[in-house]
Amino acid sequence: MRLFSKLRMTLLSVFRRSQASSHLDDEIRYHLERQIEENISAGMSPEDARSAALRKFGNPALLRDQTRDAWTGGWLDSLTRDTKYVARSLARTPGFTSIAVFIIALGIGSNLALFTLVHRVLLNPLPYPDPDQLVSIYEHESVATRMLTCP
Amino acid sequence: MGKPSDLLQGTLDLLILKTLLLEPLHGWAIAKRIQQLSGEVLQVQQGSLYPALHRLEQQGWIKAKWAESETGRQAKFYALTAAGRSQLEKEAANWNRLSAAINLVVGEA
Repeated sequence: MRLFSKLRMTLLSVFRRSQASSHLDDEIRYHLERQIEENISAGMSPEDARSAALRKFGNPALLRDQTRDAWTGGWLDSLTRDTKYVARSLARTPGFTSIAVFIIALGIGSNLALFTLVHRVLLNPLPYPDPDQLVSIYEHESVATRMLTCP
Repeated sequence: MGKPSDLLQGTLDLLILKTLLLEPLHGWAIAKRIQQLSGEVLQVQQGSLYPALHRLEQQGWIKAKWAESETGRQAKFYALTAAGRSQLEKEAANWNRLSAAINLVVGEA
C-alpha cells in the first residue's frame, strides 16, 4: 500500500510540478502572514514584524529550492529542461544543425548499408540444403595441356 | 554516526512526527507547537520545517490536504499516516537509545 502511494507521489511530482510549485509558494506565504500577524499583535510595527518574521523563517527562496530538491523526479525535470535548452540552441543555428545532422545521417546510413551487405552475403547461410558440402571444380593448367596447345 | 546535519535532520523528523500524533496541523502551527511543547527551548528555524515536511510526505509518513484554517484562509494541513505512526515509534526508540548512550559517555549518571 505504501509502495502504491509512493508511486502516486512520484507521478504527481513529475506531472503536476508547476501546480506543486505554486502550492509551495502559497504555503510559505501563509506561514509568513501568520507570523507577521502574531508579531503585529505582540506590538511591533508592520515593517519590524515583517523583518522579524523573515529572520525567524530563514531565507524563503533558499528554503523553497531545498523543498523542491526533496521532491522525487527531480532528475527527470532537469533532463527535460536541458533537452529543451539544447533544442532551442540548435534551432538558433540552422546551418550548423543541418550539417551535423547530414554527417550523422551519412555515418549511420553507410554503416547500415555495409553491415546489411556483410550480413546478407557473408554471414547468412546459403539458401539450399547442405551448403557446407558445396565444392568448386576448376581446371589447373598441366604440362601435358600446354604441350598440346602450343603451336 | 553521520555528519551533524544528518543528526539534526533525523531529530527534526522525530519532532514533526510526534507533533502530528495528536491532530493534523499546518506548517506554522507545527512550528509553534514544537516551540510550546519544548518549553520555548527548541527555537527551530521555521523555514527548515518545509523541506522536512515535504520529504516526510514523499516517504509516506505523513499526508497533506488543503483545508480552511482557523483564520479562514486556505492552508496545507499535514496528518500522520499509519506507516508514519510506526515510524514514529521506531525513531523515538532510536532516539532514546542514542541519548542514553551519549549520557553514558558524557558521564551524567
